[in-house]
Amino acid sequence: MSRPLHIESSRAGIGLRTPHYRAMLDNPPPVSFLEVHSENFFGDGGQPLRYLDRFREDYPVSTHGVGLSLGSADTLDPEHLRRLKRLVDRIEPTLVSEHLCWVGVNGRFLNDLLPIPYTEEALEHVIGQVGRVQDFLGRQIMVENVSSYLQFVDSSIPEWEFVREVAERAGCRILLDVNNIYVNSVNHGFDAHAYLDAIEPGSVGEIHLAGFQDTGEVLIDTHGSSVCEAVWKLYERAIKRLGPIPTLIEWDTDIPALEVLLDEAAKADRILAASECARHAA
Amino acid sequence: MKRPRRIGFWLQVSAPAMLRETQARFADALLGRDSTAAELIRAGALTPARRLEIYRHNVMTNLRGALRDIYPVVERIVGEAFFQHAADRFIAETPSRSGDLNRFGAEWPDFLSTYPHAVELPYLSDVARLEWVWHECFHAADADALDLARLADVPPDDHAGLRFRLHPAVRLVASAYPLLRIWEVNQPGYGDDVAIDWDAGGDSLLVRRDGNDIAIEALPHGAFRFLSALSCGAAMEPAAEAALAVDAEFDLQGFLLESVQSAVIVDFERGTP
Repeated sequence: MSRPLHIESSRAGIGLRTPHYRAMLDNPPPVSFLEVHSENFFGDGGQPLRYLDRFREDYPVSTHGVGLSLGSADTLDPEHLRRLKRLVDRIEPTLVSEHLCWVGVNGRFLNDLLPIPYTEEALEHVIGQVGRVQDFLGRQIMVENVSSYLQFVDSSIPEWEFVREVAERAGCRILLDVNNIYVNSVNHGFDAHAYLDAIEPGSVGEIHLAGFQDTGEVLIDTHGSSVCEAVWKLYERAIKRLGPIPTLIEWDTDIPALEVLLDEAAKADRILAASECARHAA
Repeated sequence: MKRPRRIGFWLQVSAPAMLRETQARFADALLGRDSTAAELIRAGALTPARRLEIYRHNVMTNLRGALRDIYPVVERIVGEAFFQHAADRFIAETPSRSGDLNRFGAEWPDFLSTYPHAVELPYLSDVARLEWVWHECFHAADADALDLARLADVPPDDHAGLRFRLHPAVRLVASAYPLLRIWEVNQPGYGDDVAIDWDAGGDSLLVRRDGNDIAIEALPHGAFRFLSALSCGAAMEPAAEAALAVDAEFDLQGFLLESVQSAVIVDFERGTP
């Protein structure tokens, strides 16, 4: 039997997380796709891949990498690439994405999504890296804008221009994390609307929504709570500008009951549906 | 004569030297080795040092979290504070070498065996070894069970030279301590009887897949020795001899059948003993 590939853009997707496996098998929720962290399925076999194969029968899947380190000065790790390709070949995901960040340098890894200094030099380098990944995988990928808690003195390019240039010149698409735009706009004092307006319609393949934590000093992108009101507003604006785009609710820490996650997804569904109606009316 | 243009020179210019410098200093600062990295960072409402501290916290939380996920029994035995202290030292001494956190922490059992604060828990590194092996089995490749009919087709004269292949998700762990009992009483939801008989002697454990779970079981010495020999590539006859040398009760046929049925042995090829 053929596995579904098409993601309905009028309904949101959710992250596939182990605590929900049982509930989702017993009662498959009506979400448009499931997203997994690629590295969690880099093993040779066993339970993780068995479950993923099972869910893949019923849902389109998006593989979302956290460790490829596109923005590192190091060359890409061939072993990491090989495992990613093996997963992509096995699962045939509809969407494949990585973060626009670095996670290690000089062979030493910090395993966190670290910000890139937005310089001409880094831009050229990242464009080359994305090109090599796409050549190796034999398919287009998406790159995601990350949250950050600092800016480098060297940065000479606004983040939104950096993201846009990478997509345009590397021939990849953007995974636009609307929560990260909001978090960074507060942390670095820029206009989130200007960021959104710089993103070309047609260049975005997926949108992420998540919760953050306000520590009083900065907003930290924790993926551990519901999406805040300001981020929903920004999302509405994004959908108006970009059209309905496959949207994912991310929730990775303090993972709630499946129903809570599905409620969040339903909120995104309503915004997506409203935009469809507005389009038909126009 | 003009000097020829050096391609290597051009490549060097195109390599992201500034990016590498920034990232290397930033990474050093997060691991507490460069106090000048603050000058790379814009101040704003927070000082550069404070911003570095936020990242340092995130990085350490991720790496400690990876160790916690793989080594829950060790953490249960030593407690959260001890675990964190040891983890921080381990992380400083043994940096992560992959963007895939599932590959981090293989050296943790060795680290614990020489960690000065753990000298009074000499079994701790064996517990850690068992947990790493559990983690390996969880992600190891799948394999089909061996069809017994294939084995039945082998003429008796060829039995001695059979070379069996173990399932990729099979590991053998020997310990001088009652490791299985230590493991059991430290599982979540285990009952009140947590007494451990420290005089019970050591354990020879088989770790394998059982459906979606990982099973850990104690083997008699002979059976353990037999599987150890097979895993090193020994043919059946020398493996059985090694088993009988430590355990006169070793029942070759019975154990072989059991190992095929539980998919511990999944394949074989013919050869010479």
